[in-house]
Parts: sequence; C-alpha cells; structure tokens
Amino acid sequence: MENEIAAITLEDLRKGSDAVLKKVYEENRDKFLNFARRYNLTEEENIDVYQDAYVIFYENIMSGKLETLTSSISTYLFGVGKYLIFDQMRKNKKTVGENFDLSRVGESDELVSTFEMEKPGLTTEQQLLKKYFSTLGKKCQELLTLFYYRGFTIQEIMETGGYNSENVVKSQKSRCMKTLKERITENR
Amino acid sequence: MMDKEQLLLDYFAKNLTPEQEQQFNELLSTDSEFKQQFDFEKDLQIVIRDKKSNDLKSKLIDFENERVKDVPVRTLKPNYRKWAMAASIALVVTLGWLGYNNFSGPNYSSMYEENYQEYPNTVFAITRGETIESIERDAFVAYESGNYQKAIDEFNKIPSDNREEYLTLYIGLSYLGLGDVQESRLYFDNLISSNSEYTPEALWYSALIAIKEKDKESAVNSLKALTSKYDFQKDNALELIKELE
Repeated sequence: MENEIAAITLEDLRKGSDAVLKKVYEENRDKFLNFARRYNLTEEENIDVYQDAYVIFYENIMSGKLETLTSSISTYLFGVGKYLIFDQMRKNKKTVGENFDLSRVGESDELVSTFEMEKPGLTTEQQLLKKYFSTLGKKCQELLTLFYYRGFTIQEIMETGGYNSENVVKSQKSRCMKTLKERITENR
Repeated sequence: MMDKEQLLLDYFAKNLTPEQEQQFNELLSTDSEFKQQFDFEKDLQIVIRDKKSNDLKSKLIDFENERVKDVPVRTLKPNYRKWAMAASIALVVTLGWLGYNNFSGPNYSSMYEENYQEYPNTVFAITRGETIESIERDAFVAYESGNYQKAIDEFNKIPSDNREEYLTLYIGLSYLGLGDVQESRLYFDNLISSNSEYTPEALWYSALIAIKEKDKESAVNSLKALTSKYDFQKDNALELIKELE
C-alpha cells in the first residue's frame, strides 16, 4: 500500500471507501496543519477545521458542485480551510470583525468560489424526516442513499443492487417513500 | 400527459433536457401536489446529505484518534540518581532566575519576543493560478512572505481614496516587521483614535511596542484599554498586565 502512488480520482472519492478516505486524510493532514498554524487558532481547532474542510470538500463532490479536479486535493482543502479559519477567528474575537468581508476571499479564490460552505440547520420537518429515515430497513436506506446522495440513475441502482428490472427498483423506491411518509404522519 | 414521476426521477439524476426542465418548472408553479412531492424528495436529499456528512465527520475523528494511538508512547528508563541530580540543578537555576527576575523587574525584551507574532493576512486569499493581478494582491504576497519593504511600497501605491481600513493595519504591521517602531506607531494610533474595526489589533501591537521600549505605563494603558472592551488576545493581555504591574 505504501508504494501506491496512483493519484486518487474523483470517482474513487465518490465511491468513498474507508481506505481512500483515510488515505486522503493522512496525505493532506500535516500539510494542512502547517498551513493553518500561521493563524491564531489552537491545535485542536486546527484539526477540527481540517476535518470540517474535508467534509465540505466532500459534500461539494457529492452534490455535483465539483465535477472535475482541476487542482490537487490539498489546494481545495486550503481554499475551504482558509474560509473556515477566518470564520473561526471572527467567532473567537466576538466583539470585532463581525462584518469582516469574507466575500473578498471567495471572489479571489476561484477554485472554491462556487462551493457551498455553510448549510442552514435542518428545519423541524427535515429533522422529523431524518429521525424516521433511520428507522427504515437497511435495503430502503441504501436505495434512497444511492439515488439521492450518490446520484445514481434507476438503471445504475438496478445493476449495482442486483434488481431484476428498473420497474422493480422504482416500485421498491415508491414503497420506501410511502413507509417514510406514513411514519411521519403517524407520529406528527 | 407527461409522466410526473419520471420527471422527478430525471431531475434527481440530473438528466432533464432543457424542454423537460421547462415543463418541470411549470408544474412546480401550477401543480401543488407535484410541488409537495418535490419538496418532500428535496428535503429527503438534504437529510441524507446531512446524515452522510455527520458520518464522515465521525469517521475523520476516528482516523485522528487512530493516529494518536499509533504514535508510540516514549518510555523513559528511569535512572533516579541522575534525575534527582538534574532536578536539583534545575531547581537551583529556576530559583536563581526567579530571584533575578523579581529583583530586576520584568524582562521586557523576552516579553516582547514571546508575544510578538506576525498578524496573519486574513483579508486577501492568495491562490496559485490566479490571473487577476492587483496591487493589493502583490502587497499581501510580499507581506505573507515577510518582504515588508515591498509590501509597504505596494500598499502605498493604492490611492488613498480606495484604501480600506485594514490597509492601515497592515502598513503598520509591515513597518513593525521591519523594526521601524516609530512609523508603525503612527498607523496604529490612527486606528485607535478612529475607533475602527481594527482598534483591538492596534492596541495589542501598540502595547507590544511600548514593552519593547520598556515604557511600562503606556504598555499597561494600552493593554487595559484592550481588555476592557475587546476579546482579542485577552488572555495574553491580562497575563502581561500582571507581569508588568
């Protein structure tokens, strides 16, 4: 494994195996922390920021915002990281810099300028949905995740999930959604 | 009649043709049942993404914890005699140093060295491969690489009408980086008297300058002004006040 130098592709990342995720984590960790140490955060905060930058980078791959890697993974992580560091610094200072103009950073940093950096918290409705989604059977959770998260087509789900036909996938999906809706309505 | 279910499937698979997209948007504004179904599925997508992100974050925390475990704990083979001797020497040295310090007052130059840290560029992101050239970018590149004279020259090229407040701070910091204390103080004083967003930073660096010049009174004044109103460097500032007084 140590001699493996093949570059990690976006497709590897999308598949998201633990081995690949860990490799990317290890390969970029020290570089990132060295970069982050120039700012006034604690080492714990730096590690936290690194992980959050990683998560945001990954979210943007999975949502299709990032379709091709035009630069090294670390460059993306730095771009997101810088944004998060400034954000954290503003929070630490509390009384100053609340109106610090971060859009300047976004403008000048082409690579991550289209990234979604902050997500609004889940609405009450979405929290309910989350709660009951996790009560669904494993098969349902997998199918819905492939479709809504991985962006698989029905045909691709048929192929990877060993279904007999696209119609089977569609009706299975409908059943899962129906169960989900029922559980939410019952418990409202 | 178009297949609404198929439209939704194609939407989430990002397979809508421009015409279908138009139909899709029309349905959203005219067909409330369709809109409701779409909202539900969109919410589901957000929820699954949120769940996956949380999963990933805990995975990364695990990776980090595994690292800590992997790092071998350094074991000391104790040689008590040697340690005891070393400890007593250390104790003598420490006591001597404390005594010296107490009698001779604060060690201003070490206080300055310990507390002076370059203030990071939090304003301008410098990324490789960027084509837009701007004076400000050059200035911050110079600043970040410690080339303060060039940074000052570039900052000064920016017409004063277009100068953002933070440039005052960074020019002051660049002079400080060069060791030109008098000049840097002009810029910090300017920020302090104008009660700007960067007043806390200016107070902090003014205090450090005063410490460097062994001017206890103005150092304490600046630090007190800083800690009474702002959180920036508060812990360090309180510590310094204690040491100075």
